[in-house]
Amino acid sequence: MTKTISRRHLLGSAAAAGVAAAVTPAMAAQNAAAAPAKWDRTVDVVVCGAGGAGLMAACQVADKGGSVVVVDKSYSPYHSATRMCGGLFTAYGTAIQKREGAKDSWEAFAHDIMDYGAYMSLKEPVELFAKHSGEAFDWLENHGLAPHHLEKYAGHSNLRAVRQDSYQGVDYIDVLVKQAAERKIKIYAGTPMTRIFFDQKANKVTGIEATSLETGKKICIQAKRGVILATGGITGTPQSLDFWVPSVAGKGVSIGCSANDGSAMRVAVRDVGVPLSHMQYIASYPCGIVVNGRNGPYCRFWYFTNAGGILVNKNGKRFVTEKEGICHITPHLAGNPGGWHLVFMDKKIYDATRAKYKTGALIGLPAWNDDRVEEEFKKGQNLFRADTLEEFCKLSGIDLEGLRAQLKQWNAAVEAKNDTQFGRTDMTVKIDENGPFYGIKMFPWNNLSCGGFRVTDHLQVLGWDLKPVGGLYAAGETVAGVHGAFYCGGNACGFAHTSGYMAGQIVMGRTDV
Amino acid sequence: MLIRNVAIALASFALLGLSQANAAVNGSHASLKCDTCHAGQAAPAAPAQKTCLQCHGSYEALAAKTKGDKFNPHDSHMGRIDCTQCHAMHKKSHYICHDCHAIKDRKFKGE
Repeated sequence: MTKTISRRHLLGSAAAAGVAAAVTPAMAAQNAAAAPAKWDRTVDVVVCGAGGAGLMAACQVADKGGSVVVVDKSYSPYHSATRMCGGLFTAYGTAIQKREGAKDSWEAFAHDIMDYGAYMSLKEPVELFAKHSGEAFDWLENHGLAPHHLEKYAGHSNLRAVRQDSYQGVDYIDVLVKQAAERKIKIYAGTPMTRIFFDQKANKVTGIEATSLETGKKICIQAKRGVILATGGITGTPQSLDFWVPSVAGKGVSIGCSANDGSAMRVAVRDVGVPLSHMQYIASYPCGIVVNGRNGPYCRFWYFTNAGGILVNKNGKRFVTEKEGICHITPHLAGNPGGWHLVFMDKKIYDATRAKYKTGALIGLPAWNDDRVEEEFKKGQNLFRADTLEEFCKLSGIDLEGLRAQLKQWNAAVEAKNDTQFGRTDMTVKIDENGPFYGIKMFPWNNLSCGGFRVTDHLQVLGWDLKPVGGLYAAGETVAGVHGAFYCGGNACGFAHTSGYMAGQIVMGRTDV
Repeated sequence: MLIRNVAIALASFALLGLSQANAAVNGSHASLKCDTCHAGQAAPAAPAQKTCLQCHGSYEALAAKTKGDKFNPHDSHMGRIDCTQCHAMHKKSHYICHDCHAIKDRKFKGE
């Protein structure tokens, strides 16, 4: 049956849909209760989540004289995104910047974040981060943070990236666990927040319910000053990642702790009616080696391409300039057949790169060793080597004729110093058409999410009416729009601790933000 | 070795559509009735962690048993993932830490 739909009809439907979208959260919130029959415990602040953001917030509350408890779905702060990160904390105004004479400004930092994120970042969390990151980092440094150094990092115009010498975020958790223990902060482990009590008339969150995963026992905790949601992102399970991010659904590596599945965010949607934003944006690197479904490490393919390798898709064709910023390559993978690509080279390029870099630098996060690389070459599922192009294509599934043509075209481009396909300019080395050939197959490596709650410049969560909900704050990966459309290294760890630091102080009355 | 010691036989089914006749069970679980792990399931499915822990004690106790110098599969950054992500009774067990990390001596008992 054909039905003519007028422009007026379409506009009317769109308007109705808009009204429905606006009304639905409020209707959901009508089911919320202002308080349970009985509070089991009363404190100034309840923090939900015991990662970098949550523990930092709890310590600040305690230092401001507030009573605080933490509820956490994980069983340990070491089961958190901060523990898994590479120990890079970007910050403006740190003591280490001053010691090393680095020139910087919060405005330059905020601009870098916005620019890298294709201007899809939200200025409230970005500016708070840029302004206060230095004091948050210095707090960690002054409380026993393991050795670190300042380093230049792509995407940051000034010297502001502090790297742990260990290259591990576990150093931050070590500090926070110790500080929380010294302050005798109670952490309810394995006890996720399962309900938020919301007094809709007063527009105020009054407390939460948390439920033990082991016993099912519920505890209702009244929060006189506020609740801070620091429950992490959505990349912890393939299911939650795939639900929110269609471009990587069903493929690629899912990096995170299993508790980071976004369920706490949905509780807030259900009970308080707060909208979620930026949920489809994630930090996704185009270099995940997929092992056993959705696990696997990360290949620093640019060391191979810098030495003369090229990136090709299943058709054997290049699809981007290899010099593109890596997170900007990721969106191209969704359009490739099968959603993957392969770094392709000959033996001399592979050997030259191996001579220059350790195996663990080429395949890292976490690092593989020579034995594992050899095992994977033999397995031939992700790492391929072959004496002939025919054999290489049979192993890897790359189209033979496509790759043969691409190889000729690429070598002609190297010869002419003119890449007419994608304008790459650094090519000096041809790929030997007689082989032997090497290749590593890569999918998106999805490691943190950039969506969540909209917040004010005081980290107050916005309600369905886009006005702040009283007594409800967010910190860390649950905050929407810090990174915009593309994530720049160091900003997630930096924001987690800075937003936790500020949320804890703001809920206790700090106003100079 | 560490991972051999880890090899506490926990149940896994992952055999949707597989009949009782060919649902062979490995190792120490071979003598158990199907219902020990799969009671109440409408369709064959991997048992929940709670089911495994009914016989194998607490997660903390398992973590204590497998504590090592570097890696403890029961106390990793992944948290308390389902037992059946590694342990399988109807097929070969699979040590998922090794998916990402290159770990020596990662074999299960009998592997």
